[in-house]
Amino acid sequence: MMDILTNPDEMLEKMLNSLGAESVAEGGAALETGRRIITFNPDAIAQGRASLNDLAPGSIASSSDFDGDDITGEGLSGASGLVFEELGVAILDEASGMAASSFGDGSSATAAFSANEPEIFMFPAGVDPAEYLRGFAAAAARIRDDLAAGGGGGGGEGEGADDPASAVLGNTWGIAAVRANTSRFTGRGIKIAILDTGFDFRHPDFFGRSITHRSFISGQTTQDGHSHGTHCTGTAAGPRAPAGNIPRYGVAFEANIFIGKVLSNTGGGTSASILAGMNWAVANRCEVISMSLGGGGGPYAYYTQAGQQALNAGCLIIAASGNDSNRPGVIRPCLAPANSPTIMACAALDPNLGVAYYSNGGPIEIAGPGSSVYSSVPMPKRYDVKTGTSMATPHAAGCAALLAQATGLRANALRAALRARARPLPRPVTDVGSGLVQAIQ
Amino acid sequence: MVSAKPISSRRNSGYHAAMADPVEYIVTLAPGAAAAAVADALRAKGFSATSVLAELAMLVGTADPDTVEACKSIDGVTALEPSQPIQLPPGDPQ
Repeated sequence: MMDILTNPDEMLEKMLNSLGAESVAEGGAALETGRRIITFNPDAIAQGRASLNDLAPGSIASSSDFDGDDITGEGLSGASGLVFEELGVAILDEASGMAASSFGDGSSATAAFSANEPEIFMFPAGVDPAEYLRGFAAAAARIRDDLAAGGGGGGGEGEGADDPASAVLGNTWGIAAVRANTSRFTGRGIKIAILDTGFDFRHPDFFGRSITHRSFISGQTTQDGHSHGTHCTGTAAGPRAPAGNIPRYGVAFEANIFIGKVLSNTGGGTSASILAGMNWAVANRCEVISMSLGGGGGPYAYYTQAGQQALNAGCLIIAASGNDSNRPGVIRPCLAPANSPTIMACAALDPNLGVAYYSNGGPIEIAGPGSSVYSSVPMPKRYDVKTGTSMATPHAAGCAALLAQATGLRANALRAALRARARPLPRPVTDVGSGLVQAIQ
Repeated sequence: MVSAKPISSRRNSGYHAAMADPVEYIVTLAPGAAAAAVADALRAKGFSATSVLAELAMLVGTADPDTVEACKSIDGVTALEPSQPIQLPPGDPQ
């Protein structure tokens, strides 16, 4: 177990190697653990146990030693084998098992043992052992990382996990599509601003997180009375492993969160309130600014200049393209502020990676998962599914935060790198730009 | 999702009854322009600056639409546009 926690990748390699290609091809699961299972003759259990004690004096434990209690790893510490008296079997470590096999014919031990077989790993029916082990290794890696949390972080380029192996642990479709679940990066050290309806500070998934906030709506605190802002924040920066049977829904789970309330509890705002929030986010040097909002007209000089000033300060703004289309017949142009050339416009995809019917077109730069997105909402509901380019945008913003952490790139360099790493899609660039945003691995 | 109608400050006292309602505007400043000096020049033409967005090089304020055109020619002003309302829709898509 410690080996697995220390180096799950190496452990996985060993296990997959021992599994063997033929075994996988045949659907078999002849993956040996290295231990042996001795089956005693029913009328010679005492004799068999005595033989094992001769083999390894003092180091063979018995289920009867536990007196009805659960048999624990701690209780077996130092033992080289365990006899299950009620079952008439014993499990031996590799050395003792091999020694037991060496008893010659005619010995009392041979007479007491009816079988000496390798212990094998067992897998749930219908599960590919190789896939199962990859998932297991991913889980072990996650535990290792969690145990190591608080030191280091960062790291170099990953090994490029092409298959979403840790989906075994549960991820939303959006997290899997952008491959945030296999990324080694977390957003640590990166400030990501979500300019929206605020945030629910009572949400337990965010307890302990660094959250800086300010309201630009007169008479209203930053507390989210709408739900849109809490949902977008969850997608951009929600936890790696939500409590309970909840899939991972957040991309940059260690990013520093900046909440700027620029839309009211009824979802309304003005260019002035939005610009005030942008000014605040830039003043705080938020490397990534996510804006799931938009209005008609433009491009406006003020949004274009705001985007440029942000870039000059090392901040990249990503904004939603808008939801006014009704494809395939009606394709509306990108809204403001996303239609400003200094701001990155994000379109929405559905779970089949098609352009979402509502997603606006025009100067699109990137696309993200937008339909049926599961994320956090204010308590007591806690989670909900929402659809729109508003949901696509924080996926892109979260991936930008990971990339900013991994590469140190900022502003237009970060923007270009995010586009370069996008997964191309067989769709018009006016609909999806460079394609599906991807998390750096 | 949006209305093109500019934001009104809703000020409509008797004193202003004969004038158009003040509208909120965003002033985009030229590179290197001093916000305070531009605000003073704007005030002289009836524009009331309410906030400075220093990081973005902008001013926010209100003015009567009938008089705002004269403000656009002030040195240091590159654009003067009305603030726009934005409203999230009540349901999906959002």
